[in-house]
Amino acid sequence: MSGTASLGGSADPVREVMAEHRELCERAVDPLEIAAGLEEAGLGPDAAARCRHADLFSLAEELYARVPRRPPPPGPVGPRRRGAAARAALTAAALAVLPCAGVAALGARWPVLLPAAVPLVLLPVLTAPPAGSFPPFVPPFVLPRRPADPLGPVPPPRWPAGSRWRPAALGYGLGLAALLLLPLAAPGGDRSTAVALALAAAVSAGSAERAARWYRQVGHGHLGAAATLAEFRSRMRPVLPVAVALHLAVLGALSFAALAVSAVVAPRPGPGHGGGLLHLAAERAGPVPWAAQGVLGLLLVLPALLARCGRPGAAALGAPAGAAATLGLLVLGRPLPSALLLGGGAVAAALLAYAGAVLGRAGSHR
Amino acid sequence: MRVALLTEGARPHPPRGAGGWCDRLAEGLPEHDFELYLLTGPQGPTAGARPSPVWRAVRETALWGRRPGGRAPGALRRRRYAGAYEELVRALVLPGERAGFGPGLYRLAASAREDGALPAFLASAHARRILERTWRLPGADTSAGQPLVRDVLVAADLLEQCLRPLSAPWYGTGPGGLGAADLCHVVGGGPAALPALVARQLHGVPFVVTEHGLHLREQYLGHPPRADGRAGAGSKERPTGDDRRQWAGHEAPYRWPVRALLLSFFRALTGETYRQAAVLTPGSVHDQQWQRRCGADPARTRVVYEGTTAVERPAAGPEPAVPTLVWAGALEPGRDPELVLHAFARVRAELPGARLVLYGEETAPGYRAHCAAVAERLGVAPAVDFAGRPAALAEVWEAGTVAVFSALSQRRPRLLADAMLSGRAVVSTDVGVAREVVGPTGLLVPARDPGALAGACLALLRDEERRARLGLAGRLRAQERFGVERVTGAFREIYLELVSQYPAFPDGGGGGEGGPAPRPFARPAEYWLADGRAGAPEDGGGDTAGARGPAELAEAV
Repeated sequence: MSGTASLGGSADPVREVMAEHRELCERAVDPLEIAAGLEEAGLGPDAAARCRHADLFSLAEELYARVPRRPPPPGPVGPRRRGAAARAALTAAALAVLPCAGVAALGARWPVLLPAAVPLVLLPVLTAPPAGSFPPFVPPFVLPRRPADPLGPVPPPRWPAGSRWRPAALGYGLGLAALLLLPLAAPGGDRSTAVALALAAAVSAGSAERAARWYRQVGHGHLGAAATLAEFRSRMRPVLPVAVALHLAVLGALSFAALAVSAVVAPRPGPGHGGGLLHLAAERAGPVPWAAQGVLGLLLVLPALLARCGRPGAAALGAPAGAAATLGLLVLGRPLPSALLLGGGAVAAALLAYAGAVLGRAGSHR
Repeated sequence: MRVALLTEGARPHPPRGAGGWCDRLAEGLPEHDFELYLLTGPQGPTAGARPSPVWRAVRETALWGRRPGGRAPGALRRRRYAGAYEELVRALVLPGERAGFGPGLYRLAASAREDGALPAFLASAHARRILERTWRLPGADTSAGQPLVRDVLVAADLLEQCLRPLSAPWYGTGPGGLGAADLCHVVGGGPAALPALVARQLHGVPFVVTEHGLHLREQYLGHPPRADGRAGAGSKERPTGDDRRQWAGHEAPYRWPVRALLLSFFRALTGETYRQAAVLTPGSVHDQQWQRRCGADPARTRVVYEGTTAVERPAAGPEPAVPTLVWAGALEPGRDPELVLHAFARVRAELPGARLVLYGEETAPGYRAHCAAVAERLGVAPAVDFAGRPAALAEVWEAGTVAVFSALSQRRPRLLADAMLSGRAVVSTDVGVAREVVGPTGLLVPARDPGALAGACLALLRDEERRARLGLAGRLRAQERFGVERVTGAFREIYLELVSQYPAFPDGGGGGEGGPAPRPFARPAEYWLADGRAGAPEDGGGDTAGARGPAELAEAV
């Protein structure tokens, strides 16, 4: 050994090969990969013989043994598209609030309701992220194949881009339309308060979209950071309540603002107009409408979360179910807020339990 | 004889036996019944989809794309799946348990055959937990990179896709089942060998593996390590390495642990395939060395060169008036067109009238411009012509006096053989298959040596008599080795030899001796003469065969 060492580094031909192909050796998963890489770089049996090896394979084995493995460190998760989420949220809010405003202005008649429902039904489809954005999933056999055509590249594989127009997305849109138009179409109650709350809920469709995207983004980040599935679940556990709470907070602020505006625009007749705008806004809606508004918020955000995290079926079931339960109680003769609170509340509770169980799984975030 | 030919035919890539190799084989052996079993993508077989009429039947299963539906197994069945899957994954990641790959695979296949719930199980959270737990065992082969949750998800999906052929409806001895075939012929290796392995295990059907360009090596080369910290690493690179990386084309989207697992799977699968295969027919001696390295028995290996229809083509016409070097290949660093440009600069210094024509398209955008800039810098740009893709290969060689190959590696003999068939003299770098293909009929120079390449080109350009002699010798050599009849002849012998060693119906379906209706000449005479009836499990037992109804027997036949 000392003899070799005294000859100096350049006398060891293996060391030269090693220096030249260090990166290949560091990242190889086994000796055969080094052999393939060396062959690809133009080394042949004569190069192996120079290194006093019978063939390229045994040279590769020596290189594999001598060079420590150093795989590339986990890199950044990928470029984030900053504006996309905000754009989607604004689109969703605009798509939801315009038809609702139209219905509020023109009155809830069928010729108005039907055209108004169209953009709402299409909302989940139009705001969906481009299909297949994560992961950059490529089947193992197709990508690495060498061109069979010796004279040029084969065209890159084109994936059957998963269409956004899934029946599940349309079902979810149908539920969304029903949820947002039902309060406007329901008879009775204080019309101006109902309109204000419904418009606030419609604007908050944007916030639901944003919350769903944020949730997905956080999950995506934890996928690349958590070491085990259990760790991933424990990391994701607080995220769902935070996402839902953020959405509800936004909805609350929007509702309060809408109530204040309606207090200014359509003041209640009669005496007792003291206490300023805030007081007026607060007294326009009692605890039951506020709770119903909260339920509506849950029914907006949970299907959005489920739809964005790979459960479009659950979203397509949950949103219409909430609307149907509310409608059922309305038909039975209950006023809208309590119908929404009871019927929608039951569905929202079920959805919440399901989302809590399902959305924390790693499989929901690819 | 019924031959089940298994191969991949997924769009957008041509099938493994590219250029209609499989069709030609089936046409060349009309005395046998060929059935084609294709692993395809979600869009079905390759464009121009009408399968050739030589196939008695064509059966497909989707190898990638959306996971096939199906219910997940129940709790009891799931335990069986889980046990087999864990054995398989342990064999992939634990160096001491490599031997468990085959048994795990066959257990999974047996379970999948019973209830067809394999894809659903492989996609379940249960399978992911098994994968994660095994992957993070202390002795696991992930010392250099711990898998993250993301890796577990991706690897589980990949394994699910790789194992999809196990749940193909191709097993059994009924019509359309591999068990009813006399032998399987796997073209291309890789996942196409999975059904053949299972059929060998279940029904004792022997299989032949033909590979033109090894699947395993392509996997190693096709998954270049993902460069995560690219910006930092680039500056330390040597300029050539940097250059090569710049044109490296695609990068696999897999992180190191996923790559390690995936390649480990393919390595284990290749090893098992080579061990179980009755005969291996690599496309070159170069590939044979690789196969031997992966566990192939040299006694069961026979080199069968890929036949080409270009053999019937007439030799190229008269040489062009101006001494011209012609180069063909994809414009990419691996084919090293820069070397030929450098060599051509030296040739032009000696022969000022010489020209160079490069045929082929760039694989990475901008590489052609890069080569043009190199030519400009060397001062030979006016005499260099980037001709793009030719209409036919024959006109490529027609345009040149000498055909030059400067690649850093030659894995397949196709292009070289085509050049030799034109009757033009060939100069090639001595890499890969070049030596065995060209042999003494062309000039071989070391790779990355422009001086040697220029010397060889000059020697040929100046000596017309030698050029003609070498060209003719090369044409004869290529005609002898790359003829289509040679391929069909080789496989005719291989098929006959195989059926002579393996019983036609090991579980008694159409067995000669014990069945109620012995069929005369159900087996070739060689079967009775062969010494060791290799691989014959229990031969057609009288009881089992007697219990079968004649209808079933007829069905099996």
